[in-house]
Parts: sequence; structure tokens; C-alpha cells
Amino acid sequence: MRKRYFSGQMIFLLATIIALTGCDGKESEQTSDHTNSGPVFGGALTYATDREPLCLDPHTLGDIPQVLISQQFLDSLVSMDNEGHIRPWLAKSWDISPDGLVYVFHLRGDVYFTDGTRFDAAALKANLDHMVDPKTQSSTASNYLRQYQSTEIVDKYTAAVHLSRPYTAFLEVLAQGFLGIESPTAIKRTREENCAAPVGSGPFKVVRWDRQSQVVLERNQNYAWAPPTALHQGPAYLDRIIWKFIPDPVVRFASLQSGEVDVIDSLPPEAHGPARQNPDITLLLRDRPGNPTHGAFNTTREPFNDLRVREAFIRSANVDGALKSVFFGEFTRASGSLNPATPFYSADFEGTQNYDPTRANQLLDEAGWDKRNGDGYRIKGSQKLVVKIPLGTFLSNADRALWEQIQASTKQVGFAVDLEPMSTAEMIKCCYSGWDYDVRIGYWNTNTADVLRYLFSSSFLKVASIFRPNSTGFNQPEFDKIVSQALEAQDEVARRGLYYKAQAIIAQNYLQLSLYPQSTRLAIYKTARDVRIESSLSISYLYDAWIKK
Amino acid sequence: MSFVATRSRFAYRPGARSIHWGALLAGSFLAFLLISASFPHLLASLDPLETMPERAFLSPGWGHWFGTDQSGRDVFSRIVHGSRQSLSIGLFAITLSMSVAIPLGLLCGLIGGWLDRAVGWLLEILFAFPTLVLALLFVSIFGSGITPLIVATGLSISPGYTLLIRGQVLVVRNAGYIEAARALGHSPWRIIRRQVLPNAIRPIAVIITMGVGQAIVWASALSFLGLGAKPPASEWGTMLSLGRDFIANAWWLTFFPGLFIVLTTLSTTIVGRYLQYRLEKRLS
Amino acid sequence: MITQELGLDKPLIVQYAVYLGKLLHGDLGVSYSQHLPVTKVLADQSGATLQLMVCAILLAWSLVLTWTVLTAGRRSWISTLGSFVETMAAALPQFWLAIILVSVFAFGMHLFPPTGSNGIRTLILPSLALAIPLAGFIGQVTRESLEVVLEEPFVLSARARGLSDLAVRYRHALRHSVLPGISLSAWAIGSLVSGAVVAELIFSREGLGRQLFQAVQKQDMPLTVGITLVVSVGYIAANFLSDVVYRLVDPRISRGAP
Repeated sequence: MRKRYFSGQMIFLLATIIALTGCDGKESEQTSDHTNSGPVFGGALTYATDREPLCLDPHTLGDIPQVLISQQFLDSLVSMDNEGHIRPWLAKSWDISPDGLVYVFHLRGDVYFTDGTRFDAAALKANLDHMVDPKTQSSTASNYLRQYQSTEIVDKYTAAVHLSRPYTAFLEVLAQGFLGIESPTAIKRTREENCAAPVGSGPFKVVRWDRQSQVVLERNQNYAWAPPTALHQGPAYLDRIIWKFIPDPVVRFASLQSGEVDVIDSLPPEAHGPARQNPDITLLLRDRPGNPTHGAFNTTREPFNDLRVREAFIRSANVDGALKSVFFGEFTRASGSLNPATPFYSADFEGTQNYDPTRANQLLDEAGWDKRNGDGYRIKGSQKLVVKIPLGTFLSNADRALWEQIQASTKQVGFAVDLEPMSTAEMIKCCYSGWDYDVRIGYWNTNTADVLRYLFSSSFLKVASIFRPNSTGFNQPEFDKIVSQALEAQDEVARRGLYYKAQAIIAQNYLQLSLYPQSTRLAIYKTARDVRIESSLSISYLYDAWIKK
Repeated sequence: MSFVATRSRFAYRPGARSIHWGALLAGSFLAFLLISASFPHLLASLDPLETMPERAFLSPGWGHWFGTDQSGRDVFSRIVHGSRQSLSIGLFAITLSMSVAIPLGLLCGLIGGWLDRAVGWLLEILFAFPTLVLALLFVSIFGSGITPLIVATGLSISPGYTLLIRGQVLVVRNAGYIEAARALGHSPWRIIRRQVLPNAIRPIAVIITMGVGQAIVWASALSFLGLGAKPPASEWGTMLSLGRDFIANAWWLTFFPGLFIVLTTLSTTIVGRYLQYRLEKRLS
Repeated sequence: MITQELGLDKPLIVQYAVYLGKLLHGDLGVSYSQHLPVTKVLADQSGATLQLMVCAILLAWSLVLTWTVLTAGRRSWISTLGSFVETMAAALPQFWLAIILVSVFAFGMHLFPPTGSNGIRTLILPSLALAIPLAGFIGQVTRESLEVVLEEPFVLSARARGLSDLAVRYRHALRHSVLPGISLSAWAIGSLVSGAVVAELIFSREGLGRQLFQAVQKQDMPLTVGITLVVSVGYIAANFLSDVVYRLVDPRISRGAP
């Protein structure tokens, strides 16, 4: 067995974040202030986000708003640093069997959950079992643990996790907040109780949830097991976090400008300019790893079962123009199937989706859509080239405008794009579990290139709970083989090669129109200091934050 | 969304002089709307759907009277072209609601008795449901889109109109000239046909005029909530809703569509009142 | 899994019967989208909406009591202006007004917080958005009856006794002319609830209106029905209340029957 051990030294480099965000000097103002006057204890930080989670326990369901808040009160088994390396957290160290099927975790013995329960091997077992339990209706954590078989309690603080197949992304997904560790006593309660106030071992604990309004978190005074990626050790500086829900982006930004709230996330693109000009506000931006925001083609039916028509759609969509106007040039274009922040991302696939209406016209002619009707739409026989694109309620107005521009620019070459606004219930029926669409809009945030397997391999064609990850219907044995080999390969060079091949196959098949990487976009008022973005999912992390009085 | 006296006892009678000017202005605005709905190309030469990303967010000025939107489309053209959709939603909705309200209202008012009490009771309950709540209920059943939008708007405003027409019939039924006709020995059917119906129906012109404005507002409220017209439609409520995010960068995206909604309701109200005033003057 | 838990695998008519049965026992069921008992959602959210509506009605009446009462029955141009402003106000869609108010007073001048569900300052803008059109409506009616009352003999005799114009208007004439406005206020509750939906969304406030919108979006029938029930009960209660106020104010009734 190979033994890995990391000392708990602080390896976090704030400079890396700033380098990664690629922004001008203003964003670094926070660092210099930090060195001038140190952090102080006390005060409440008000954080405003857009969406209210349905459940605060990220094991259940598994949507981004859940993990945004649970990152503040749950610890993970392992942590991830800025370079993408796995570091200890609740597990001091671990051994991996040569066949990659058994992970033995050596756990910290000094950790308590905020309900007084002790963290041990049995607690870890209870958590992993909870995540894969169909009753939690998890579409995220359970998908990440499909290889999980069982946990064996070796001794009080040693647990051996058995997998059915080698899974090199296992530690990476364990570092994500979706797989945060909760008190085994608390997860035994009813689902409603656990959703309303999950109990973790983190630096804060949930005290109150006023629906539609806010969640109040309080400091965990006994906290002494911060991850090595943190800026300090011991209890958090803040007394309290007021986690507010302000769905309207304009209102959210205005609340920050007036100092009513200290930090906002999902800063809308139109607010970047005013935020940069405001001396009271700093920006903290970071792309999330995973698969970019995209429109995935339904390859199981006309017209996108034809590769040429898929490419023609991509070539005729003027995404760059839309990103410049609606998004004020604040969002970078993505063309590949992985975001740059994802391990094994290759830049070779940028530029493979460039706007080229001439080629689009030529491709459509070749594909037999060579005539146009009176309105300028292409026809084949009596059939019109209609593309049905449902618009879910989660889309921002900027996203809607982006798709309207795609609708207008693809019309030039003869696509009749039908943008249909739909409620969540309708979306589930037509698109999340059904196949009644031509393009499904989506994205997938995760810290491993294994995301390609969820989105494009045939094993994710079946519906888990209410959601089918594979939205293209792509079903290619060669691709399936490559992505499962990549999970078995322990060698990094081999993995890189395999994921390169996988990205190439997706690019050649024009399976999705990639738009822009999802990103964490924080705007911070001058009162809040050392608000950070963690590395596993690029999510805001308030453990090190403090209030400057 | 806004309040217009739908119960005739609340309607007020302004001075004769002021109403002429107001009605003239309001009438001209409605005429302008009718022209833009029927022949939008006469008023706006630019394509309301053509996107030009490089011309996004131009402020109002020569070339683009109301500025351009986030996709570089001309806002004035979009409003003019959108008037067809907004007006027809209003007209269809009021037609639908009248085709429910008139027969039902007449029936209740004329037959009276247990039927009137039963229907009246039901209507009072439906009337208690706020229009938007009722419309949202319909949307939750029929789904979103233009047709459900019209149905939802039309049905949810009809209880109020039914009560109004029923009330009108009752007033006419008990009026002096009916008593007189009865004393003259006319048959009940003749009285209904010759006296009650014409007198009860006459105010409906007023109601419809005012109702169109109301229906447009309700429909745009639903569109504003994202439950109405499909993109890239330039229905006013949808425009307002999509432009709202950019209010700090481009106020004109929200202001002008809203202004047109306000002017439309205001004009239909004023013209409706004027009609009412003329009607009452003729009667007295 | 979800279907079994919610009983959706049973025939529709059975589901409906089960639902009605529970309804009769005061059990409104569990919200699909929030996994919470509907009664809990209603209990948590009703307060904010009630606050908003009460505040809107009070504001509307204070606008009427100043603007309408002071401009009614004056020289022709003041009256005309007064009634035009009322007509205009009554025609303003609440959602547009809300957006304009929040942009000007919260985003532009930073006079009020743009959002929040606690404290008087967060209440002012949303309730103004509801109050202004309502004031326009009540104002039109009150003006009409006030102008009639101001011509009554008892008002003329009060003036002859040397009472000031303000005293005549507020102490004598007003009482006789607010009645239609009061019954109208109760009737307008429906419109206020509609307004609350948009105001709560635009100002990101908590409340029943926003819940209703989300319930419709997610096709959460138990919650939709629950909120609709509460709104109807509220409407009936408001009408009852307005009858009480009507009796208190009505000069004919409060003087005691002859």
C-alpha cells in the first residue's frame, strides 16, 4: 500500500486566487489591508445570494444553493488546495490499495459535531450510506458515489471504504461540499428536520431558517480542525452569518451598494462596471470547474441526429456577440467540454466553435435542408427546420437575452428556433426525465474531468430520481471505454491522455454548444475582509472572514 | 393591477369641459395604437427582431427614439410591433370575459330567485379571489403561453363584470319605465326585449372600453412574471420584465413599455368615462 | 419514489377525495416544493403580507385625506388637476410603479433600502407602490361624494357660523363622504393581494404573494390552494371589518336610531 501523508501546514496562497481571477489591481486591495491590520473577532456578516435552497442538507437533492451555504457549517473528509491537490481535513491521512478498490481513512480523533456527537469511523460510514440511500433523493452525491459499496469500521478512528470499481476521482469528489460530513445522530432524524437544520462539525452552525428571507448561522466556539487550506486555525472570527436570499439581481447589488449587506454572490454582468467604479466594493471572481453553461443537442431525434446540422447550429450561433453585449464582455467564451479550472482541461478545443455562417449554410445544404420557405426558414420536403429549446425558470434575464440572440443569429442561416418558457414541473417532464427537446440548456459544476462521464456516457442515460445527466443521448462504446479507463488509471499522464481523447470525441461530434464557464462572482463591501473562495467547487468560504469596524 | 371603477355606483362625473379635451387626447392615443397594431411598418421602419449586438444599449436619441435594448434591437419598433400582441391579448380577453359575463349576468338579473342567489353567491366567492391569484391558478392548470394567458386573464376578470351586468339588469328591471310598461299591459317578454335588454346592455360599451385597458394590464402583469409571451415577442409586459435587470444601465428598457401600458389604461378609462357621460346625458 | 411518497400513484379522484377529507380536518397537506406542512408556510408568511397591506391601506387613506379632501370642490382648475392626478394614479400598474419607485428612491437616491422584510423603512416603498393606485381609486369616489356634501345645507350653515374652511371640510363634511371609500377599501383587498404578489417579487420581500408565485411555478397544488384559501378568508374578514368601521363612522347609525 502506498502511504500518503500531508502535514497540516498552511499552504494557501491568496495571491493564487488573485492570479486566477485575472482581474485588475483593485481586487487585491483586500490582501494589503489584511497585512496592515490583523483580523478581529466579533460582528455579523450579511451575505446575500440569489436562490433559496429547498433543503440545507447537501446530501439531499444536491443543488448548488445547498452547497453554497453548507460549505459554511459542514467539514469535508478531505480538502483541495489551489493547485488541485488533495489535502487532509477530517481524515488525517489515507492509504489506497494497489487495485484502487479500498480506501483506508485514518480519521482525526478530536472532532465533535455541534450537537455533541463525536466524529469517528461509524460517523463516516453513516454519512456515506446516507448519501447513497435512495430515500435522500440525491442526484449529485449519489451519482458521485456509484462505485461505493460499503464502509468497514476497522477501529474507532479507521475506516475502510470499499469500491466496486477503481475510481480515481473519489478523493476529489469527497473534497466537495456536496459530500460534507454531518452528525450521524442528526441524519437519523426525519428528512424534514435534517433539511431544516443539518448538524455538522464546521466553524458555524445553523440556528434559524426564516423561509424566503434568511438563514442565521452562529460561530462554533469549539472549532479546532480547520483545513490546511485555511488562513487561520481555531474558531471563526465572525459571531454570526446572516445568509439572505435576494433573488432579484438588481436589488441584490443595490443592497450591497448601500451597505445593507456585506457580500453578494452571482453578481450580474451588468453590475461589474458600476462595482469596479465604486471604491467601497471589491470584486472576487473565479471560474468554477466542470462543464460550461451550454445547450446540449438531443441526438436521438431530427434534426440534431445529423452531425452536420449540429455543427451548422454551432457555426451560426453568434455567441461572442451576445457575450459582448448582454454580458458586457465580462464572461469569457468557452468552446470545449471542460472549464479551464477543471483538472485535465485542454485548451486545444477553444476556438472549435467559432462563428462561421458560410460554413453553416454549406453544411445545411449538404444535410438536405437545402430549400427555404417564405419566412427564410430551411425546409426538407414539407418539414421545417424547427429547434425546440425550453427555457427553465432558473435562467437569468441575461441568459434569456443570450438565447434570443442565438435565435436571431441562427435564423440567418434558416433555423426556426422556438424558445419555450417552462415551469420547473414542465421542465422535469419534457427534458430532465423526457426527451421532448432539441436543445437542453445546462451546466455541471464539479472538480473532476469525470464530469464528461456523467454528461456523455451511456451509463448516465437512465434517470436518477428526476434528473438524467446525459442530455445529448450520446451513446458510443469507445467513449464509454475511455472515460471508465480514465477512472482506473492511477498514472496522471495516462489519465491526461485519456481525458484528452474524451474531450476530442465530444468536440468532433459537436454534442453541445458551449457558452461560458460558470463562475463564482462575489462583490464585497469594504466592511468585510478575507472573504475567500475555496477550491473544490469555487464556492465562497467565510471561515477566515472578519468584519472591519 | 390598477383600479378602475367597475361598479357604476362608484363612477364619478367630471365637469363637461375638462372631459372633452381629455377624451380627445385619449382618443387620439387609442387611434395611434390601433394604427400601430394594424400597420406597424407605417410607424416603425426598423425590424423589431433583428439583433445587432454591437448596437446594444444605445440611449434614446435620433435614429432610436426610445434607445436600443440588450440585443441592439430598436425599443420604439418593438413597442409599436408589440402593440398588436398586447392589444389583441386585451381584446380577446375582454371578449372572452364578456361572453361569460353577459349571458350569465342577464340570466341572473332576469330570472332572479334561487338561481340568482346561487350564482351570485358563487360569483362573490370568485370575486373574492384577487384577479392575479385567479390568473395564476389558471396558469398552474393550463401552463404558460399566449393562449393560457388570454384565457386566464379573460376568466379571472369575468366574475366582476358578471356582477356588474347583473346589477345593471336589476336596476333597469326595477326602473319606473318598466313599471309603466307593465301597467300598460305589455307582455313580460316584450318588456324584456324592448326595455330591459337595450337599457341594460347600453353601458356595456363603456365597460368594454375600460375593460380592454384593464385586460392589457393584467396580461402584462402575467407576462411580467414570466408566464406569458414567448421570446422574442415584444409584448409590453415581457419587454418590461426582461429590461428590468438593466435598469441601472438602461432605464429606457423599462420606462417606455411601462409608459405605454399606463397610457393605454389611462386612455381607455378616459374614453370609457366620456362614453358613460354622453350616455347618461342622453338618458336624462 | 416521489410519486409514492405524495400518493400520486393513486387515481386522481382518490387523491382529490383524500385531499378534501384532510382539508375538512384543517390539514392543508404538505407543500411538494418545500417539503413543509402548508399550514407552517402560511403561518410563517402571512404576517409580512398582512403588514404590507395594512400599511398600504393606511398610506392610501392618508393620501386621500390630504390630496382629495383639500382639492375637492375648489376653483375649477384645482378640481380638474386634483381629479386628473387621481385618475392617473388609479391607472398606474403596481408593478411598473414598484420598479420606478425602487429605481429612483432606492437605487438612485439611496433613501430607502431596496429590500428587506423587517422594519418600517423597508415597508415604505412597497406599500407606496400599492397605495398610490389605491389612493387614486378611493380618491375619485371620495371626491365625488365630498363635492355633493359640500353643497349640503348643514355645511353651508357651518360656514355661515364662521368656521374655517379646513374645519368645515375635516370636522363636518368628511364624515359624510368617506363611506363609499370605506366599503371600497375592503373591496380593493383583492387588488392589493394581486399587487402584493408583484411587490414582494420586485422588492424581494417574504410573504404569501411570492410564495404563491413560486408555488404556481413549481405546480405545487397544496400550497397554491392553501394560499388561495387564506386570501379568501382574509377578504371576507376585511369586508366584515369594513362593515364595522362603516357603522362607526356612519353619522346616521352612530347617532343612534330615532
